[in-house]
Amino acid sequence: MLELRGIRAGYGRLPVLFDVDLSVESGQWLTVVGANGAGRSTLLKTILGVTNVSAGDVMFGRQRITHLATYDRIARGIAMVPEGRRIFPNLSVKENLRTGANTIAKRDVAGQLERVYEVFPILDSRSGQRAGSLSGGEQQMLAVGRALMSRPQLLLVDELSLGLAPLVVATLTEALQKLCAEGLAVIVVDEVHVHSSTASASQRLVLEKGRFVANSAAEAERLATVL
Amino acid sequence: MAATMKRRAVTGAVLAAVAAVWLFTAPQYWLFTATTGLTLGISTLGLLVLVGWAREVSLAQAGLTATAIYLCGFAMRSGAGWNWSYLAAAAFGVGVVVVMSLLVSLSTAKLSGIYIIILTLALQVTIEKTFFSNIKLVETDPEHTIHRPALFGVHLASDRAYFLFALAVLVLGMVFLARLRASRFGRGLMLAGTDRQAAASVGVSPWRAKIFAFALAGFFAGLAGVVTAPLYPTPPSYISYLSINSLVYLAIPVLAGFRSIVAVPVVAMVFAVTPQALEHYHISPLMLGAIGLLSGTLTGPTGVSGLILAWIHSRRRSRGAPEGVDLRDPTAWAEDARQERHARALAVLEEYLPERSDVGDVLVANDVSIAFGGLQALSDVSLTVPTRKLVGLIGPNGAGKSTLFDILNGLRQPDRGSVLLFGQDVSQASPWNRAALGLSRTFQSSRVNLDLTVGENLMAGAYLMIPGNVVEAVAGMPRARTGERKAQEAARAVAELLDVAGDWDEFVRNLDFGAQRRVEIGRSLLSGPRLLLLDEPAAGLDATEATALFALIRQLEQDLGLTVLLVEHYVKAVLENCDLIYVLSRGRIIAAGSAAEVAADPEVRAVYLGEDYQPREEVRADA
Amino acid sequence: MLGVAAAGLYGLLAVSLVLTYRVSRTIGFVHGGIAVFAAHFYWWLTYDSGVRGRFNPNAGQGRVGQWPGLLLVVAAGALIGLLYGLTVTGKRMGNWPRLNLTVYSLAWLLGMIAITQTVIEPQSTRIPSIFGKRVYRLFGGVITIHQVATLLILFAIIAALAFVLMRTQTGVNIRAVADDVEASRFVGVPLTKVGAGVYAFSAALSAFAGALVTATVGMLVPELLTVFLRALTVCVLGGLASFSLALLGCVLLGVGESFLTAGVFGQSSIGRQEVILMTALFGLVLLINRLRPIKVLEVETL
Repeated sequence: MLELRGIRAGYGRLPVLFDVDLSVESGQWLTVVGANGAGRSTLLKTILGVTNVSAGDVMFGRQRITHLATYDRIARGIAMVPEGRRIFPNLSVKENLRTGANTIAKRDVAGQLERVYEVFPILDSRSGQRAGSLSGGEQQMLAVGRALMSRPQLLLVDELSLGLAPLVVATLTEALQKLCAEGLAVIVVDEVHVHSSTASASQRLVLEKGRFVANSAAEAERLATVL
Repeated sequence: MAATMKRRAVTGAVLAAVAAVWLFTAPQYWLFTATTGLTLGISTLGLLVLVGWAREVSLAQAGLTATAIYLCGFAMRSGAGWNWSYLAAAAFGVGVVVVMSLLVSLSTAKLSGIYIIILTLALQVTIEKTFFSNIKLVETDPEHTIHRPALFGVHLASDRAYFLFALAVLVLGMVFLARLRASRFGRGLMLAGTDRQAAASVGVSPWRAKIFAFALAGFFAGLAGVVTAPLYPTPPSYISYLSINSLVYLAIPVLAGFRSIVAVPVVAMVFAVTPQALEHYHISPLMLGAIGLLSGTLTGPTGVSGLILAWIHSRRRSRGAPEGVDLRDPTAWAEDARQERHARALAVLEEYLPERSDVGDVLVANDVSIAFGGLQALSDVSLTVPTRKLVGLIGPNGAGKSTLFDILNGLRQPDRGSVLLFGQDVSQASPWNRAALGLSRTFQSSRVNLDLTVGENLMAGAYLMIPGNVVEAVAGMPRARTGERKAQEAARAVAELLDVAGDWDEFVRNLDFGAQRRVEIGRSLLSGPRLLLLDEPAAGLDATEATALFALIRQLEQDLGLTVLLVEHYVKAVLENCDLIYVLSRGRIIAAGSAAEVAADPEVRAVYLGEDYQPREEVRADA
Repeated sequence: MLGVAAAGLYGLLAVSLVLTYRVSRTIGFVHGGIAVFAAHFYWWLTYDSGVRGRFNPNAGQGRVGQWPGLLLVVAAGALIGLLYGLTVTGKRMGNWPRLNLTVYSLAWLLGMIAITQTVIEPQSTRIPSIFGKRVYRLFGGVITIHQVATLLILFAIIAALAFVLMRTQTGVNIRAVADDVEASRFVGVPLTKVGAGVYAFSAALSAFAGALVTATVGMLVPELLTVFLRALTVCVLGGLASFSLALLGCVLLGVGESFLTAGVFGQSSIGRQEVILMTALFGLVLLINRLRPIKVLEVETL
């Protein structure tokens, strides 16, 4: 479904990613780990279309989207949960979710809201509350729910566990696993030491200084502990 | 080098000859226009300091210049005026304008930039409504005119003489600014303009820098005004000094760019001369100003002069070798030579760093708590950094490590808790005062100035270590000169230690991420610290480079007696090198102790390291 | 009482300034240029008889009638705002530092004034109000229908804006952008549409204000900029991010102005009035900000 071929990308003149190849099919869960500064966020942002790509191609559903605008990529089925959640604190929970629904038809919005409430019931009970007053875990659920509103086929998650209690992370992971089983492709990037997200992955890659350095699970594990 | 000097001398001589010829053959109205161009240049030099270096916008420069013109003229005039001498009237004019600038900056120094812009615009409008409407100041009374003064025995009655006088003042102004820029004050100003947090962390107070920049801008505006006043026998009309003209003034340094001092008066002259030269096309100065501002936004702060300089720089780089290392000498790259240079650099740096007594604990944080954005970022965090130790702070992302650093550094005030530095309570102290005590800090995201070279970035950190006030620095008095030289040597030494010596003249924007991080560490070393707070120094480096960096940090700690507290994700490196380790998770310290203790702690394993984490045999706990 | 009536004009500019600030975090100096352009364009459309140097004070004897002229001016303003918004929210410029964006805004201000002054000969007289000459006597003071109409229009606009912001998807998008521009891009908010739309609407407001101000202040650029500056200053009361505080400021400004001109603080020259007004306004602004202690040193000032 998603394929990256020889991607060289960054912000401004200097590239952050070098020669990156990647492939994800529907229903797969890919985890990319790497130290801070290795290029994790850059990888996701390249898939989403926010960076400068100087070489290589991004293919989605067999179509080249390398230079397609972010809005159009979201319309085609890619969605992102940004690093640090980045929910809109001054909007209510429901309004936050609605910001994710710009690419779907107006008549489908209510239906999607229902589906997101099914996945995260707590959002339903807090739907009128100001998003800035939610706890960290609830905000993360809101961020994921907001991404799900656009009916994505591929979900990009930047640091799922940032500052969250293990129990909350487990709940989130479980919810994502269920969606994965229903066909959603998931790419999670995280820092090296978080093992809960790698447990559910069907693929694990390690990013170091902008390059993938391992492609088998065992190698990834070894390098993870070395660091 | 000698070739470039000779080329510059020849160009200079040719230009001077052309100028001399023009001076003695040009008609009078051209002389007036050119003199106006010179005074515009003087005024906009002040804006260069404010807008180009300190990155503040002032919309009052034209009004301030006019204030000085009218006040000086009024003071000089006989009859309705006070009939003062030129120098007294000039001092008066400049003084009032500087006071006005100080009032504006003192009241808004600590507020965000939008207040300053609007307040300067309000100042401009107020000047228009008060000074410009005052009949006594602006009236043209044919009976009481302003006479050209005589300075140092030279009577400036002739227009040519006056032009040369204005030129002399402009040149003096440029020399002053060049000396300022080469001093710690100029560098500190520029740092405060681009990154207030980084400036505060090396000892520069951003408030003082801002106020200084405003006062200087006011001074140059006043200077331009008092040079204009005797140019005409009667006060000039104020339509050239309205708020829209202030915008045109702003366009000049924006277009010229902040890197060059010479470019500003050149652009000013172009602005003054073009409407007259191309009279046929009715080009208003406002249009020039709009084009200037527009191109300024497109080129960025480096302006047109930056583009030209970059082009020259890239041509020179394609030919030259890095300074200090002779590439033809194969031994230059040999490991022994490198180690020797390294050792020498360490010695220079050791001499540079100040002595501080080895009193017990260098840094102590007691029960620090802070909440913001609806989340409790830190809860009752207590930390002790013993002297001459390497202390590590690890934990998952989002744990609050950078926030803790902000509090230790003084950039953020905690809700509760205290911080002690070298035994003193610094909880209320500003970051620059803590830097003066010996605390220096780097940031998680690289905070180097991309538009400056490696050398310039490093030297910016030496603000606290060079003695001398502004006068001493600009005049080049011995105390300041020696201090500059020592800082230069130390900066070169630091560059050698951090492996960026070959890039001394390279713009930081062209270096890779790891090199940029090292330049930032170097800058904080130059502030003369006894305690270094490093926030993820190895981010963006691969395992080999990280190991090398840690070895260097260890060396700095052992050989130079520095104390280091660092945040890192390279757990192996932290466990191998640190004497004491704290683990922070979700705002709380969950473990503290030696490497072995921390690696075995069950909560740490559950939350961060992973249950299967096996520390390798090489991990030793340092005593 | 009378001051409130005079506040209508400032209110229009204030709404436009706060709206663009919330979306871009930079001061919308471009609106000053649009207001100046609109004033001159409105005069040119409705009063300029085409003979250079001579102008016709009778309504409707210009190129178009008053109301069609007003409509054209507002449309032109919206178009200019749209153009500005498209350039500013594009992918390249979206990542510029705020200093660059501020200078860019100033460039448009200067450029618009330069073009306006080159193309349209400025006149120094006021032109009659589009709403007529009726005058009401109220509480011992005088209110013109012009002021009343401006106020009513302002209320209507605020009501409409509140509705859009709180109850429509566009409003949600605008408020999301005001909270976090980058995150808005990540979740699929159509930034270009939102940004260009907000700028077009705000510019239409400023153009409207510019056309209306010709009846009270005239067309001299320094005077027009003074009005713009005053509106800007009172917006700063709420840090440029709050509608309610900005509008409150407008009321205070209107009241303060009418007190000064009515001689409540004694007869004083225009200069002294200006100084008093500015000092009072800024004193208030600084007081409010000093009351909030600074707990964090920010990286960028602008």
